[in-house]
Amino acid sequence: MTPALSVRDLTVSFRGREGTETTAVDGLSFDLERGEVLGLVGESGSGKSTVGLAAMGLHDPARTRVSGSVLVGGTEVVGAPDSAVRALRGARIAMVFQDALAALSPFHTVGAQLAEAYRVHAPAGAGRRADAKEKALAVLERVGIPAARARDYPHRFSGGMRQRVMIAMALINSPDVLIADEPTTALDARVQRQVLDLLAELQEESGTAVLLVTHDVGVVAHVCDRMLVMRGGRGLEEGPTRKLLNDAAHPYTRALTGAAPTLNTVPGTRLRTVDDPAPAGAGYGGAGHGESAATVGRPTAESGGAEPTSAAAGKGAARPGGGHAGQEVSAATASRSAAESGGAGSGPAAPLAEVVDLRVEFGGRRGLRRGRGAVQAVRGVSLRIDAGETLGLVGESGSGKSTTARVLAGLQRPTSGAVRFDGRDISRAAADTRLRRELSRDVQLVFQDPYASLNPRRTVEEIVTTPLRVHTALDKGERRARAAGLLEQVGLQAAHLGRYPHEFSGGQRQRIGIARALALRPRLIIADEPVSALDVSVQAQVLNLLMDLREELGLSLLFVSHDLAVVRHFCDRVAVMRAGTVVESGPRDEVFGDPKAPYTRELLAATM
Amino acid sequence: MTGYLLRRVLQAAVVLLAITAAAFGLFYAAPSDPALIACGPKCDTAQVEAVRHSMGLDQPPAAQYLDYLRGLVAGRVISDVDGSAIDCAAPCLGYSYTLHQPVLDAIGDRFPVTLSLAGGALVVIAALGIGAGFTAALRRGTATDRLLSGFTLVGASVQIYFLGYALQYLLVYSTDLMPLPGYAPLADGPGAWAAGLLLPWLVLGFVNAAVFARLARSQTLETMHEGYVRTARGKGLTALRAHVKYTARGAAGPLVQLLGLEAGALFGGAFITETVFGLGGVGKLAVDSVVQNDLPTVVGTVLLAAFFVVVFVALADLVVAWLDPRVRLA
Repeated sequence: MTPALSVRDLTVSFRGREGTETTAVDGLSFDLERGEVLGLVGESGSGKSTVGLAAMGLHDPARTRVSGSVLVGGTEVVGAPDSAVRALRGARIAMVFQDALAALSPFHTVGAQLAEAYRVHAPAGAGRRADAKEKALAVLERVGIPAARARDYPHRFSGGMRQRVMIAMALINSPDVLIADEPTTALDARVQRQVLDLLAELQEESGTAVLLVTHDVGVVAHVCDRMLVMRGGRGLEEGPTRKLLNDAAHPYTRALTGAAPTLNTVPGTRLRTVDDPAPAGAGYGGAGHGESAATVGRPTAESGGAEPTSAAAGKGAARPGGGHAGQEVSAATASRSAAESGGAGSGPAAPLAEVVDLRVEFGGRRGLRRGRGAVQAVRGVSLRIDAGETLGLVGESGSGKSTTARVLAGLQRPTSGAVRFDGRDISRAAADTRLRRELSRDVQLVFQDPYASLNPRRTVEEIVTTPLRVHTALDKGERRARAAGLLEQVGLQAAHLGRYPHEFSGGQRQRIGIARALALRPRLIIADEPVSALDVSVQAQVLNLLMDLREELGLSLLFVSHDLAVVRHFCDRVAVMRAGTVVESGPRDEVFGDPKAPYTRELLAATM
Repeated sequence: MTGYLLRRVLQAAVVLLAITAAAFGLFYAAPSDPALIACGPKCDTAQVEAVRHSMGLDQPPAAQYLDYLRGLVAGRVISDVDGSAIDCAAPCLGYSYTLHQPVLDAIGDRFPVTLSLAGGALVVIAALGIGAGFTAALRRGTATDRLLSGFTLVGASVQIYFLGYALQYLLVYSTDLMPLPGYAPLADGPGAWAAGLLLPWLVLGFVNAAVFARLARSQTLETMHEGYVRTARGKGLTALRAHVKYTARGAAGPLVQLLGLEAGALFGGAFITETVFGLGGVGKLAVDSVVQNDLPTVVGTVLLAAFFVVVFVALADLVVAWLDPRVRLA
């Protein structure tokens, strides 16, 4: 029997404006058998999404060159005339995209969009329109959405429901192949679990073969029979999921599967890292399947992709190797935990920072009918952060965790409640420039998006020394010396001072952001999802770096994250937020080992 | 929705009130004496004073303004130069002592010309400008793109009076390819009406189309790579159909807004085009009234132009909300 999807020697390259050519997929071959779920795993730039688009024949022909062969149930897609590929698209091969809000038309009702997907391939005839409508309502019900909502527009649905609509749309014509490109990446953990379960259920029911494109090894472990690891446009390793997760032949696969902490990792241990982030395109191709390109388990401070990307292509295995820090619990973490439990016994010391019964409302009417229609982002949260500890604030989107963090940073004015830093009332900091300025000496931030949080028009030196310029009397030379030291501390080099942010990779930018936050030796660092925009291997490097710095400098941190496994790995104490309230808080081992709140248990169950 | 409309009408009323006040203020700031103009050069001082009194110009300005507003809403009786009473029904825009007729009638006589000219020009602007921009975007980087972009740029850089006279000479006088431009009422037959206005439509449309073409091109380029367009193609739609149904819809908002402004401007009169082609529209009336110090007509035409801008901008907002269900009217 022919495979549902057969890819042979697929090469996809994009032509740039100046005649440059980037190879995104480089000679990839694999088969997707009928009824199978294959995970296509890789980090950003690995070419995994390009494979999906090439199989659909959806590339812009003007600037893309596709060669090799993609057979959908025996029918060639590469080089086939548009009409032939169109007959396959949506009928025998369909696709679910990552961002369902963007992928659904905001101008048409969900029902109309579903019906169109059916109508395009239905034989012309009098009853086509009515059939399509009926079919649309049926698939909507099948994915768990009441048929009555077919008349609603996508923006009125939740993220999970939108992704269900996308799945319904892809499956409406019972295709042989479904390509799901990061179908649950934008969703909260519990919703992700529900959508994946639905996808698995429908897959079993229809026998559609699924190519699941993802960066998330946890997702693959949950739903895929087999997995194929991609790096730099090439297929690195392929095999049964269980085998690759437990006993991969390739070091990169081992690093990738071990880079993200899970709920079973020993907290505080060094995470596996891949030596260098794979350079995009052809640069990596030269290394081929060379084992030397990836070194596993090095301490980040020594390796950590410390070169700007422009220089990355030239280096390889020649760099000095570090020892395996392995899975041992760091002594400092252990001692800190001990100190904490000891401290708890000797009576409550004054907290470094705290909020008491914090409430924050957004919007709503002003004037006479004040407060009506307001969104209550935070409703009565009390938290404390002690000196030297890391508090993890975990919750799903909309839980109020970032708003709480912004209040503590003096960037958001609370509606009510007490906010104190080192015993001082800072609740007016957001409105009081002088107070905020004083506060910023002691409280610094690390942001989620390493691209948006660094001014592209400033050099690294300007970025890192700005806090010093504002708060200290150091002269330019002294500031520069301090910045050079900071860069080395975060695993970059003094030579990088004169460069601009765009010359660095995402992980390196996050290091620059951390160096900036450290410049004033703040007493508290507030990190809002500092690793969630990064690839897992880079996430591991940055987490390792933060653990090193914490140990070295005795930092206090508020660590905001949606990722329970990361919080468990990194934090001493944990507060779980939901809908503006803290549903549970306590020492890490208590919250994760013996969760009291049903919501915490739900979150843990959904974590893959 | 009802609340929105009500608010919008109120807003419009406030804007128009402000404009009448400003225009009325102009009436007194102007260095001319309406009574003297109305009476004519041969009047002596006593006669001018008599005319001034009969016109109500000896009343305080505020009283005159209130009188004017009352006339707008309820109509009023105005005395002519010779003292005879003229009944000016609501909405009374005053009486032109130069044209010897109520301003509303003067505008009404010429408005069909303006309506025909503006309506046709808008169709040309939308079809030519938006069509060229959309097509150029879909064929980005090709010769078609460069040709269309260049063509519309020519329109933007050429002057109406030059292009109008040049085309009239080439197409009408030299070659007889087109009939002589002029206005024939639609009631006399659509053929003659369209034939007489064809050249003015093309010229006015072509000159104004460039900005639409540029906006349409950039809007289309921005929208054509949206996820929902890709989804549509993933369903098996042809690229063209996906772009017509989805890209165009996504690109439409700013174009509709701009078209609303353009419509408001054109319905207020297009003086240069009217002059070039010898069409007696509101634009010519407005400019003539300024030249002749015919202040009631000046105020009336200014108010009319403002009215159309306000109406079409509001209308554009409604269309945008209808096109995009995410837009909430507030």
